Formats: sequence, structure tokens, C-alpha cells
Amino acid sequence: MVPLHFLDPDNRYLLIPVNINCQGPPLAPLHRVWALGEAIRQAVDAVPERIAVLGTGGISHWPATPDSGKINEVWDRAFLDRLFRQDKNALLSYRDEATYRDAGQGGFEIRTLIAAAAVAARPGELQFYSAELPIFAVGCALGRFQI
Amino acid sequence: MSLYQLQKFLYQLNREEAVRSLYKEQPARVLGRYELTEEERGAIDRGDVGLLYVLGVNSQILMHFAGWLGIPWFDYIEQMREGVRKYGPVRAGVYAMTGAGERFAAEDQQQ
Repeated sequence: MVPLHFLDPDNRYLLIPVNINCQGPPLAPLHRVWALGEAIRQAVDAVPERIAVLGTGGISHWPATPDSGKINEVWDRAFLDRLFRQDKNALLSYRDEATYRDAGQGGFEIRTLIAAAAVAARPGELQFYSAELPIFAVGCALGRFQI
Repeated sequence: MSLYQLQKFLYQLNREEAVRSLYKEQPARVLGRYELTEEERGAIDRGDVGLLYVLGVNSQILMHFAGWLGIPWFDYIEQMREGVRKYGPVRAGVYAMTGAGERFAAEDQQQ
């Protein structure tokens, strides 16, 4: 939840955390993750408050393993392209076996980002990506969706 | 399901001060609550992070145990590699080493 540290340093806003298990099986199927995002959007639309939705998670990385620091930039960029084009079919076509092989166990965290895309329901824009921030041991990206 | 029991012990040790303090005083009493194999029990008793990794302990749990044992980060990373060299590939879970133990982090390469 690093973004919150910068967006709300004084902890002024009401926060509703929504966790999706990305650590180990059983992992939620991606179509269920998408449905969760749609449900969050419906809930957000149903109340008068102005609400920001943050989706945080890793893309390819091999956290806390001997491969810590490994990054698959090609895979990351392909995922981010699908994500911000709002390409639902392409996003939901990821399979855990291939994700594990190409993007590590950390790659299972695309669930949170796919849920965020479903909340938005419109394309977005990648604003930043770098695979050259070693202290994070993961490619770092920032983007936003239209609503 | 002893891998589950093993991870449950490590998780509770990581999370609960009461478990930690009792484990320091009476480890057998704490470990008696979990159904562990001799190999698992030996790995805990020796603080053998490499074997725990090979047995399939989720690294997000294991890294906290290593930290609690006072093992610096990149020593922890290296002990997992040594575990694979000594005991063979990771036997369960989704945290297997992908190659031959290459070092990807710059600080790791300087070790």
C-alpha cells in the first residue's frame, strides 16, 4: 500500500481495504476478480461520496526467493498494455501456470490491477514504468483510468 | 498436511508475541501443538532456512522467520540457494527457484 503513504500521509480519509489472495492457491479465477471490480464500481456509484479507487499490486517479480530482483520487462509491458487498453478478454486469458513461469509467484498479483480495471470500465493511460528501481525488486508502474 | 502445519507454526510465531515468548522458553511445548515430520521439526530446531524453503514454506512467511533469527536479507537469500544445492529442488508450493541460483539484485551480487 505504498501509494497511500504519499496520497494520504496524515491518514485523513476513510479507507476500505479490499484484499485479494495473491500469495498461494487457491487463487481467485480472473473472471471472479473482474466481477469483484464490477461489484465495487456498482457500490461506488450507489453512494453520493466522491471515492478514489486504488489498485496496488506487483507485476512480474519473484519476491523473497533466491530470484529476488528478477524482472520480466517484456511481460510487464505487455500486461500494462492490455490493462490500460481495457482489453478484458486478453486480461482474463492469463493462466496461472504461465504467469508463474513468466512472471513469478509475484505475477499472481495482477489480480488487484485487473480488479481496478474492472472498476474503471474504461481505458486508461500508463504514466510511468521502470524496471530500474532495484530497491523494489519489481518493475514499478503508475497509471490511471478514465471513469 | 504437515506442510500446512509447518507454515501455521511459522505464521503464528511471526504474528503472535505470546507464541514467540513461549517458544523461546519452551519450544517443545509450542511445537507439540503442530503435527510435524521429523524433517520439519529438525529444520525448525536448527533454524535451517534452506531446508524450510525446500520443503515448500511460502517465502513470504519464511522471510519473517529468517529475520527473527537475525539472518540479514541477502544471507537469507543465499541460505535458500544453499538449501536447494544441499537438499534438491523445492518440493511443494509456488516459490521454487527458477534457475541455477543466479543473483539478480545488485547488492546480492556484491555479497
